[in-house]
Amino acid sequence: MVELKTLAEAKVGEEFGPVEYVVTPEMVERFEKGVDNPAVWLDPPSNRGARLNPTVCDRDGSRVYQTKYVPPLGILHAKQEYEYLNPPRVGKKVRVKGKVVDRYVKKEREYTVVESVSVDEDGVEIIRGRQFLCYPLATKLEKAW
Amino acid sequence: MALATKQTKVGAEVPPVSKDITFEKMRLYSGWPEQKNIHTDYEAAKRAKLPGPIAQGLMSAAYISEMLTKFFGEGWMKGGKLSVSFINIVQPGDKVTAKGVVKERVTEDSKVRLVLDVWCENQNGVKVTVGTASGLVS
Repeated sequence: MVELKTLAEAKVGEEFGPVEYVVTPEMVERFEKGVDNPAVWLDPPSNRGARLNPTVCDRDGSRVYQTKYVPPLGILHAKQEYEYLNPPRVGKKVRVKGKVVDRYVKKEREYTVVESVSVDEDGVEIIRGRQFLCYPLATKLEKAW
Repeated sequence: MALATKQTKVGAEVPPVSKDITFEKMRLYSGWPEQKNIHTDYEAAKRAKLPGPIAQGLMSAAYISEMLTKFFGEGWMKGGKLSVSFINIVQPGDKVTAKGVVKERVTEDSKVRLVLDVWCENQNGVKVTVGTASGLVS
């Protein structure tokens, strides 16, 4: 088994993924319970409408970087940017790619910025994200979990 | 049906969305039991010197997104933009309310993009998440 390093060791320009997963009804249901928000229907269910929640894929950025790195101890999600392009649809396979686009130190904390893009099996872009993750300096070796 | 229209004016308030935060919801959102971290596990939170497990910031982002899905409809799901900073922690027992105010109107092709200040505040009126968002109306 490969020992994962912490995100504090990632380099700017480093790419992650692709990671693939299927948007299952169970996944959507769990997500809905987590955020206490029933999915909306883009079209009537009787017309085979898509059951969807635009934020189901919000955590794709973490999903993709965590294939290579473990969050360091004390990590916090400082900021998040999203562009919602198309709602994810149940049953579709989603492919996520990510990239480290910046690293910097501010107020005794180190920041790593990860961009991600999620595209479904039909080539439809779902979401673009940019997450700003911060953690105390000198946490390169201690993992959060 | 979307609430926002091309006639929506600067200063218009978005109907808020409120959520009661429970540890169960935090664990559901954050992938317990596969994920044992500061959002799902007391020991992990203690190691990170936190007072206890804290909700993922993205839960607040999801509340803002729910509010804006109702406000913009398809104009949020296809063309919505969100930028938020997580400035205070949210813990089980908190009540978080997402709010928004239209601050700008921008013409974009044949549509209008409404730009909003958005935020989430807790039961004490303390802002926990702040940022901007925009969506399309046609």
